[in-house]
Amino acid sequence: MTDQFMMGLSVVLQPNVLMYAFFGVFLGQVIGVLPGVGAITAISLLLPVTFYLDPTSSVILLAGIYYGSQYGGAIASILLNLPGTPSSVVTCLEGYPLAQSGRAGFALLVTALSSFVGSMIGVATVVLAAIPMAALALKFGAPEYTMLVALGLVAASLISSGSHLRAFSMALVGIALGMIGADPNTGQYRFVATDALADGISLVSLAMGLFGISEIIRNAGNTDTHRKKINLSYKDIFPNKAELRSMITPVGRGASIGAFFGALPGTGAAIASFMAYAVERRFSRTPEKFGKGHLPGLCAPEASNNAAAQTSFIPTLTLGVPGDAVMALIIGALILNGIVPGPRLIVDQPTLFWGVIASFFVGNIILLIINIPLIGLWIRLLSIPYNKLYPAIILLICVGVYSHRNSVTDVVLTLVFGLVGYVMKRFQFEPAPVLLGFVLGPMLEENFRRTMLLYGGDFSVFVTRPISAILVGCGVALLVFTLISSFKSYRKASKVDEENDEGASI
Amino acid sequence: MLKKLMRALPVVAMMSGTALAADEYPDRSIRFMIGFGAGGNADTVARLLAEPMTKDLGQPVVVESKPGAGGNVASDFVSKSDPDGYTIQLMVGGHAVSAALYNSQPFDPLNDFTFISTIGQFPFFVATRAGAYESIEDLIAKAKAAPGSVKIGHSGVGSTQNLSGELLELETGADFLHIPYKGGAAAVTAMLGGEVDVVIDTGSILRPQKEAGAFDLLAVTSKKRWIDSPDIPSLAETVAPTIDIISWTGVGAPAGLDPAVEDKLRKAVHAAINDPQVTERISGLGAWPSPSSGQEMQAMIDRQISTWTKVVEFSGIEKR
Amino acid sequence: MHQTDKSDLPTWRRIISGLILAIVGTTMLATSWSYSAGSLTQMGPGFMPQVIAIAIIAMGLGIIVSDLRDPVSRFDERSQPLHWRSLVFICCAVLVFVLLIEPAGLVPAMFCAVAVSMLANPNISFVGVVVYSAAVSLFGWFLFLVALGLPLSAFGR
Repeated sequence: MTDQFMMGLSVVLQPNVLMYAFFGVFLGQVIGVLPGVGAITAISLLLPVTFYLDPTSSVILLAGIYYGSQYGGAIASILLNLPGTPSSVVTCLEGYPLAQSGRAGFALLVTALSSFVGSMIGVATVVLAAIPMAALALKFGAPEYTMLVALGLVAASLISSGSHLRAFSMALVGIALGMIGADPNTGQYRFVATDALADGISLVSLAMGLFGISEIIRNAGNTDTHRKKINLSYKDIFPNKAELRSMITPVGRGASIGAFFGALPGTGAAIASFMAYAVERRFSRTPEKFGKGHLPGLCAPEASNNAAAQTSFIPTLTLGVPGDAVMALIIGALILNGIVPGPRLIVDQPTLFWGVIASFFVGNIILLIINIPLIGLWIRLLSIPYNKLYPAIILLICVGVYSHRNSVTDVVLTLVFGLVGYVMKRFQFEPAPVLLGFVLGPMLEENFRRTMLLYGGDFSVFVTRPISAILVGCGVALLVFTLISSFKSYRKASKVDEENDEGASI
Repeated sequence: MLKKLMRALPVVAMMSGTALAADEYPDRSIRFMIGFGAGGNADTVARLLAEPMTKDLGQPVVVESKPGAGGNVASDFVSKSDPDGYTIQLMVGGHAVSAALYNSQPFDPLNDFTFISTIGQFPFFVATRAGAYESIEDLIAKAKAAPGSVKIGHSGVGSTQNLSGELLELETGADFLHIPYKGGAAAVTAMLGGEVDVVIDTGSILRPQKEAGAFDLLAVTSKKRWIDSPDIPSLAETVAPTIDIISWTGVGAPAGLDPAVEDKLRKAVHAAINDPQVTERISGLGAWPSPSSGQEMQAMIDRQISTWTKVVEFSGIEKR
Repeated sequence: MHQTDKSDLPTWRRIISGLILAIVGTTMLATSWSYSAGSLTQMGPGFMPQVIAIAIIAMGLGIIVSDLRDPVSRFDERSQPLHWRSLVFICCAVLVFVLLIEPAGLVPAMFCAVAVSMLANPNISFVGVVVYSAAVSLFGWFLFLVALGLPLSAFGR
């Protein structure tokens, strides 16, 4: 294994290949910062270029854009509360409060470090366990996916900092929003009020609206033009020893979760970061600190989604089946170069296979190196007074959402969700579970209905199939645990209230 | 700028021949509309063609995506655009399927378009897990013996792949359980994991699995054996004599295009398809490069609309 | 703890969030009623929407109950005034962008959207708006069209 990896490394370290790896990750990083302009746009714009490259360089370039954009996605989330992907939604939850409290540089650095470690664990998983992971992924059929997604939704009720009832109702609203458009099993249109909704709401509109626009509405009228001064000193940006130590376990846990989920075709990074966040919160001794810029809540999901970004290449490279649109594009690039990706790729094209994997290793080092000096630049953004900054953010949102699928309806919807998000915040509803429900809902419905179709409406498959049974067990345990702890905290809260009431009456 | 730079690196060598001085027709950029999102097959084919066409016509051919409703959003847009040759469309086999599947399309799938040329044609293959069935006859016999027990995974209700499975059912009398997935890759994954027994899809998706020894390709949906796989029997010669399913990609424009412009476009499309590199890549995608006349393309679409209308009616798939 | 007492908020304001949710659920249920629910084996397009709609209604009612019982803690932001000025001008800015992007092109759409959005802040001058909008549009033009080469047209279509 290590020999082959070394051979791959020697491929990547050729100057011209290295250059493509560098361009890929750099471009991905830049694209990732722009909300709405995702990796898919960048990769499809660059696809024709790859016609003139050799297959290894093509894939190294395109893959670099993909995982580079994962790094970039965190930046807009932390600085501006603008999440472009489901995984960066979670980054907003802790990253934005940190930036608001003047620690943007710290948040960015922690993110870069966690991402780097997460990616490396992901790469190691690919190198050491690609084949067994792929075999495990194939064991996931419709019942397993159903239960996995259900588990993710239970986790959603743990994400909000407010009440579980409110969080869960928002996850349901997210599922409902995800139903707009064509029904996955029959193709019938549901809740399609106008033709423009026939393909459903785009995730970008929903995320930009609920997070970005609503935040702007709350702050645009702010007449205070003096922005907090930015701290650029080494001490302010670099985590101290205690902070570094407190990151180790969350990063490790997050990366393991991400490495596992990433290998499942189609589910990937979205669930991974939500799960990592939920796990941190569940096992934290100080769950009340979450949502206010708590370190483990920032670094675990970041490690997770980057690990997932790497392991999501497993099904693509070992089985030749793309898990999502980005992977489909990369496979397309291979086919156009006359290479047919499939289970035989690792045997027939070892240079390509190991070269690409080694490029992940090198690419992530490049990313870390270009990221750290950029932090200083990024946080200068925040020194711009908000009344100058927000018009530019509006612009980024509008153009980003519009260019996503050239649809003005998407832009209008973004505004609508901005208003909805504004109202929700006033009523103490959190937007993050909506996003989770929106991403997971269609998967839940698709797989649940497929299970029923495959097994003739028999619910027992969920517990007779081993992997599914384990997932059911986890879900039930999580649910019971949550109920007990929320009951306890409710009792505690009502006690405090009683005391307060007494105090007031005296 | 980065993109331009990147493009410039390898392209310098290609820039030797400067474009011919344009006549009056393409004096500005041409929008090449696709009805599907970035990254699909359609997107790839459009971008493949756009490069040589840009060189040929001397004006940029810009691929623009208007995804939605199985390509109908883009078709509607193109059918209502000015027939000046500056808006053209990449059409796919789904154009004929949509005509059968949608209750009311806001355009006429035949008369609202000028058909320029087909680009590539490709059949579908019937695949099973390696060793599961001896032959296509064996598969149909087993499906008939135990109705509803053989599961076909397909890439979505109303996809050409789905309708091909329904047509196979209609023509042979076998009874399958049709399981929808999101895209062909997901169906292939499901068959690798043993969740379904049959997948009908394109060669580009199925061949790699056959080469790895995971799948058998039992039959091809074209009337005759397909050019690049003479060892795979056709459905027509084995179990269903009338089946002849060939999907395609092509170029269309709004109806009422000036014949001179139409001619110029067709020449550019044909030249692009005949560019050896493009030919090679179209074949790589599993399609047979097939430049055609407008009439040929229109006649083929007309035939396919009537086939699919019949299949949709039979299968009980609800129209949208 | 805040000194907002229970009595500060009239009952209708305390139940409104749960009520809105319940109404959303009911509308969803009514709409999805016409979709066929099918059977458990062959679920129709209506099955899951109806289940989810009922769950949303139940959640809405649950939230009404908890908001009525739960004292002050989560009513802080509700009693603050709405950000009317931002609401109006941010909406207008996005709508201006929507109206201009296809007929007029990216640059005019960006310029007008930025200009209108700047009105959301009371501290502005006319010259400032024009100069800054032009600057941001120039930046946008460079970023999206020159650097990224997005397939959008700068002026007109």
